[in-house]
Amino acid sequence: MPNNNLIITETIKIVGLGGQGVVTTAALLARAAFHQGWWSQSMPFFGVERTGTPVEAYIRLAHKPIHTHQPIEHPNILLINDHNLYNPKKLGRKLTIVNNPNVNLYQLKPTLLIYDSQQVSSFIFNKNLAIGLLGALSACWPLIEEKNWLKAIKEQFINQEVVQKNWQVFIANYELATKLINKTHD
Amino acid sequence: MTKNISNNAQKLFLKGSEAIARTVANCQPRVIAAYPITPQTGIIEELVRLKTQRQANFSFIQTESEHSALSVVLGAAAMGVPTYTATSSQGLLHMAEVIYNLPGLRLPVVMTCANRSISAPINIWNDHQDAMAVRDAGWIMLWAENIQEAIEQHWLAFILSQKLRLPVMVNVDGFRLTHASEPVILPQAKLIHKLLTNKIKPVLDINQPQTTGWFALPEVYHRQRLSLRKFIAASWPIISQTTNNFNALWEPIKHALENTNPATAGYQGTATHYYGPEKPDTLIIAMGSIVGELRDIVQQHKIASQKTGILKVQIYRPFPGDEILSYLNKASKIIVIDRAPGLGAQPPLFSDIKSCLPAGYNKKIVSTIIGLGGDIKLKEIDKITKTMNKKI
Repeated sequence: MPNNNLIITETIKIVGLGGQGVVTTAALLARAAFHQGWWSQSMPFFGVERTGTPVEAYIRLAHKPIHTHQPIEHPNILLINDHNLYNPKKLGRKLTIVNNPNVNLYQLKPTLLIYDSQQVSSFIFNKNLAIGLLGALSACWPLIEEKNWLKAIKEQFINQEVVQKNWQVFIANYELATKLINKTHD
Repeated sequence: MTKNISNNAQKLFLKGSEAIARTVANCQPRVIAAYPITPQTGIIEELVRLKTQRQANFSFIQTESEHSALSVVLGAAAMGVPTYTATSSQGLLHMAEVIYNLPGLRLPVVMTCANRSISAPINIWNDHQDAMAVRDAGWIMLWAENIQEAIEQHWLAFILSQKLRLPVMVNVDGFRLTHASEPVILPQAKLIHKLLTNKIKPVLDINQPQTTGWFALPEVYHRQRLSLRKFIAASWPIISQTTNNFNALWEPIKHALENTNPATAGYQGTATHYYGPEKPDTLIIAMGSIVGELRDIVQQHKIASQKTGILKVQIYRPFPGDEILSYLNKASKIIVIDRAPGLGAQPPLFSDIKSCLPAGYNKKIVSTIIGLGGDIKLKEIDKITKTMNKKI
């Protein structure tokens, strides 16, 4: 799992399919980091993406101003919201979390977590949303405080009902991932 | 002090297009007209959202083309109200006729150009070819490195346009800045209007109908165009005084909220910003967001960072030849990065710099074209920085 410090610029990439909220999730993560007191940046790769086709977004977190606006090719942390985009040869340097609703048994290695992250958002929103992966990320990498995640979700979605539903998805995935990690440690 | 600062400005996490829109809304233009084109659209969408939520008060006219959009703000500016529009790429080219009209009529308009490549082939990503196509039309042209600078330059653009009675184009790299989200310090309307009066003398009055920009015979036309040229060339004292006042008011507030030290942020001139040692061996000159990558790469090469300076051109028109020349004299090797090819000629920034060199200037200046159509290869920049200490 990643170290709990930001000596270097932390680089994160989120990949998923158009319509899964990949870009919004990236902005949410950078916003939560901003409330944590860091310099942060989120940026989508834009082009000919559309609903159902691969989309990716990048996040940088640092203790100093971030100057670059380049896409991130090899991130420290990689979040994959659709298992079809998972390539075992292309992993995050420190951590990779993959949503796969087809796995009955989750997989957990020191730098890889594969589990069904979409079950909660499918139940609440009737669709697979990438925000579930942030809950798992906060379990694996508890660097951003809960209050800052909530503040970011409130700012991002504004509408109270939407805020509440997203928070439910986030917390449920946090708890699910925490259980998986603890189970492995047992 | 904290309360005073928070009344003057807010630290927020914003997308580039939202940050620009909120700054424009705080400048309080009365008329906005636009036609959508990516990557500019988000700016106008956010402005309209602010209007519908009654956080901004302006007349919004969605026109049938960019040519009409700029024509509408031209008419509004002639009536003496602050105006704004935004466009990109082909949209800017479609405006070309009106772009030339505005400085000739001495009308103040502020426009964002979310810089994007131009066809053919079709490409939606970022370079500087669109703005470079109209660089000699008589507009004041500003170029932002990051979202924070885009905010500041829009505020400055409204002030300069009204003081000089000239249109101002703020160039913001499309996608790289318009679609990125970052922490920013956003000036509040009250602070903005300490420097911005929004008082524009009208040239048209509906109660006393008359025309403007009328027909001119060759002799009069020639004289008027040369007079405009002379005015723009002689506008530096006004620009310099305006940027000094701007920085004196804004920089302390910004750095207090950012919690950064202005002393480590390089040297801010009137039209340029310099990062690096006092006497650099090599000087790299560039504009826009690529300066961010340059700063990072030079810092990573510790030896190079002791010898390399980066000069960011923030005001491109009028061209700050004297200011740039003062840096050219300090360095022995100069590299100019352009993001437009200059087809059939030299790349534009390189060409401008060469044109202002005095007789006998014998240092070699190298031209590099990087990132056309958005393809900024870090390896290319890295290669430049690695070879910078070798003889050019």
